[in-house]
Amino acid sequence: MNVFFLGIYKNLIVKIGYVLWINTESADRNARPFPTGWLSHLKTGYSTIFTQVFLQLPIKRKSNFLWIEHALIFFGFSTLFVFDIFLTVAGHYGERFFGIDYFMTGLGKAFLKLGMEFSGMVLFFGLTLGLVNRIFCANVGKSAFNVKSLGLLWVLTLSGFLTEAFRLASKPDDPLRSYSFIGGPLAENLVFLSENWTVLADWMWIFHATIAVLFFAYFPFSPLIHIFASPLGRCVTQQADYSMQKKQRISKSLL
Amino acid sequence: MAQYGFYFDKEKCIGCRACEIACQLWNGAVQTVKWRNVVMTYEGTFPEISSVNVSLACMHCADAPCQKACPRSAISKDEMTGLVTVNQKSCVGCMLCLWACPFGAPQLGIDGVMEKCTFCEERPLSMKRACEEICPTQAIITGPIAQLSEIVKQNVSQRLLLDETSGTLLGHGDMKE
Repeated sequence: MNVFFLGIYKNLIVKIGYVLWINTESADRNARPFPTGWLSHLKTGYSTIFTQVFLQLPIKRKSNFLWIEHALIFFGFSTLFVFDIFLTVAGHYGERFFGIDYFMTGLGKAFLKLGMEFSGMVLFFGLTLGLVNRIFCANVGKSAFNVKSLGLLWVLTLSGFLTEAFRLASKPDDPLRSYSFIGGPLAENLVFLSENWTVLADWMWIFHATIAVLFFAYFPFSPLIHIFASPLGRCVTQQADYSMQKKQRISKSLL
Repeated sequence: MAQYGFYFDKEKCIGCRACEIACQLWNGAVQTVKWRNVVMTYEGTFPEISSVNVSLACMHCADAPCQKACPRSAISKDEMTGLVTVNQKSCVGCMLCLWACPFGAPQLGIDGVMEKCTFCEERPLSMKRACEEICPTQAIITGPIAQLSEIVKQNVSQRLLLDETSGTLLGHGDMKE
């Protein structure tokens, strides 16, 4: 996680700090790019967030296939991420520090399990489409784009399902088994292959955790950094012909 | 390193937009949005009105803010020519470069990645750029910055005699004289 935060600092926080600083510098030279302040641009950027981040219309205009692929990855990843954070905070920390075990043993856990399996499935489907498209169908120049980070995320998602399947194979009487609609059937088919599922489940968990750590360490240095950078950059620059406004100010300063 | 760039003479520009068209025609194969824009600004009220036409593209700044702002290091500066270009394979279209650029030069192309003036990279540097070649009033001049700053000085000295405003080398420090 240290590498993740270091990368986010180096490739995002420092960059945005620089952009804000350079724009303030320009303001001092009568070429102020933000007459009403950058914060007001962000406040009015909700339409950009809605059309470009949630609906992802620029991708839809380009290709319906790419739009479906990107939407599956985006919604699958973000939902899984939210469920994962919720399980960690409300489940693990809640049980450890406040004695609340609803999200670890009760119906809350069942709900989280179901949500994580579904969002994981959506993500896995989107990633598979993306990899197949990039490796076999896309133009030669574009085919390698993002393959490493997508491949890593694909392995991470697959190992997540296998970890759950191995765990269920080692615990056949798990009361929440029926909520794992992918891990459960997978475990039923795997259970005959070995007798030592407890050890295998531990190793699979270690593998999954290692890939997760690698993924988060690689994240800020990969094209996936756009998850943070694009909404911010586009909120500020995609309104009311921002580029032309800057040019107008330059020309005005030459009057 | 010889830093190349543009000199734009606002006193000569008549706002005909021929440079915009020449840029699009020459770079049509790789350009999906306008890389060069002619902007017209008016100030004051009739009859005391003043206007200026400015033809702006990437100025290939000496200390390019877009390069420093890019989180993917997709923007690079050529060591031999000082030209600033975008590697479209690395670009993720986050638009931080446009946010940083004082001229609003980088544009989001239809492929979802940033595009900007490449200084007509397919042309030999000994030739004129497309925008410079077409300009009927020679308002755009390209070349090494050292050479362009000499032109600026000449224009300044000529115009001082006529009590007119001087030229500016945008993107390459405060060269207004």
